[in-house]
Amino acid sequence: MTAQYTVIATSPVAEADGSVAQVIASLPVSLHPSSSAGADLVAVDGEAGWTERAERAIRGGAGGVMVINPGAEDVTSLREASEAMHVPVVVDATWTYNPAVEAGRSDFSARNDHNSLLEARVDVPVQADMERVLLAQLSLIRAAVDEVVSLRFVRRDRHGYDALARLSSAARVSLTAVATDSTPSSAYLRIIKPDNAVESVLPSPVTAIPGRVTVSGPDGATLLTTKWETAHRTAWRRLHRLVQTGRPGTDLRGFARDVFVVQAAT
Amino acid sequence: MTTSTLGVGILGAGPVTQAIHLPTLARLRDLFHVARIMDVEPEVAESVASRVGASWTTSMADLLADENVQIVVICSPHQFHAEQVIAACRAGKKAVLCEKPFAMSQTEAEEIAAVSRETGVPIIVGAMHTFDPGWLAARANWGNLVQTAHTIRYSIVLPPNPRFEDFATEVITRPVWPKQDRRNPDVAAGMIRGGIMGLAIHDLPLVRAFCPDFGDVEVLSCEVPDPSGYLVNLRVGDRRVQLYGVNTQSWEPEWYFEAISDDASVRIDFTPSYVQAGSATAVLRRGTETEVYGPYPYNGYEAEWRFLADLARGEAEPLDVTGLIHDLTFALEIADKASIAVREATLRELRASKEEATV
Repeated sequence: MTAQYTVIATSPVAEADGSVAQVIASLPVSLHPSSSAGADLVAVDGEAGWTERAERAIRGGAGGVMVINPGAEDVTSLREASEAMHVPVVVDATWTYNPAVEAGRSDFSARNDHNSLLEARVDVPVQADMERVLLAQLSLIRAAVDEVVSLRFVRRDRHGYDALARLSSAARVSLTAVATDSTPSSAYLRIIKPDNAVESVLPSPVTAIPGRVTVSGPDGATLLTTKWETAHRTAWRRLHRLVQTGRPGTDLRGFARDVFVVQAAT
Repeated sequence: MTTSTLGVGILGAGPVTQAIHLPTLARLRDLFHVARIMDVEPEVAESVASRVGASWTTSMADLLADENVQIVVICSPHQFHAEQVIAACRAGKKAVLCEKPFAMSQTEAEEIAAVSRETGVPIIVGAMHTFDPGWLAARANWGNLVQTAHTIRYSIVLPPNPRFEDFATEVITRPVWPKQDRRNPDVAAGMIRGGIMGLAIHDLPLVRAFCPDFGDVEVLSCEVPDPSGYLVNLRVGDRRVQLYGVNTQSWEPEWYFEAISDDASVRIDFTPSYVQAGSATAVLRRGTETEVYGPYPYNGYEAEWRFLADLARGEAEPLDVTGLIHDLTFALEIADKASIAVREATLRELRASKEEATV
């Protein structure tokens, strides 16, 4: 039986960036909006100080925490609290929970080796915080392909960045962020092998337009099954599942490693 | 064969002549006829010429002396281009079309420019995408994007040419490309130079159009993807430029150019070379507005031939040769700097892996 949990967004930014009301409305059996501080699940925005706010929510009795698009912070204390009190924390990075990420994972993994080059590009609004964009991109790569273990900036400025990186498989990565308001935000991943390829195009987390994963080879191209679900909604279903099953989740551990890579970047 | 059309003489009868220019000329019989074909291999010259009812020769001098040849097309190996362009100008032809690159050094390019000015023979370089109706429509409609663009990207995923050549014609001779080890620093440098001057060069004039400070080029990184190609990050003035090309065995091609500013962007998807697949399609985006131009019925090759006819008849203004030189020097500078950068990067990787093995 599906448990119903109450939800509160702790700030207008969390509400807006996470489309919290819309997601709750789309999961009426599982989630219910709350206006009181004692809600079961708490949405925290990713602005400076988010780790303290998330830890405060845990210590205040929350059963699960959703962090929306967080900036780089030390999560050691938050992880300790999360693990000690068995409260899962889900990091709702921009594209990570788009259903197409899960759909394409095995095809990307099958092409992830030391000879591979992963193309990873995001188009983001002009005012976007590029450090958070990079963390969101690393989170996406981790979820879709593999963990980035080292990164070197080729350039970075107010228009975005280009960077070269390595995955744990030793595959090379070309990371790009382009700041523009000419198109909706999106993410793109591709690995081209000598006779086959896989690519993924992911829309903004606020739209239910499906991400697309296309696998091509000598026999043609296949568009993998798509789902008309926003990344935000998938993230909330994940948090619901973790809370209901009592599992801790691994988002903070992955986030900490991504922060380490960003801070060690040359 | 009608003689009211312009007579074309072709130097070099390899796949580009067979699969691109002859099929394109077949669509333009009201403007051109092929008068003579030259190739150093007599069997190739004879066979290709016989397809179009042209005479053939193994001698450039014979072709240039042929009064039936009014337009000279140069499709020979790169190293012969400059010498042949100059000879065609000196022969007093009506126009010269030289496949890219039209020279392999700035000195050669300047010699060509001087001879073109002296003889008055107009020259065009076969940068077909600069003539593509999709590109031209985008240019007419992108407003101030050249001034405001901050990011320029250009990607080619290239299946083997025969996948297209074989549907454009029946090719009788092809160069053989040996497999190369991209982990060898000298090989990697050669691959990058070959990739820039052989593949990326197609659209470097488009890149240059978006880089007012094209003389200020810095190679920020350069890598060779598997199995071959190039990934080059550049700073050109204040513009962020990425060139990406990869050779694959895949059947699915990709060839696009993008320029992006804070509030507008253009993406132009080109059709594959060789086949008659119409023009590029250009998409201009400005926030919630999208404009699409094309596809138009013919591609850049056909457009470049139509322009050549106008030139030969004195109905079009010759291209500024200085611009062609700038296109060439831009490409050469990128090729030189990128090949140095990849040699150094590959050497570093080699040393690092040797040290790791020793430990």
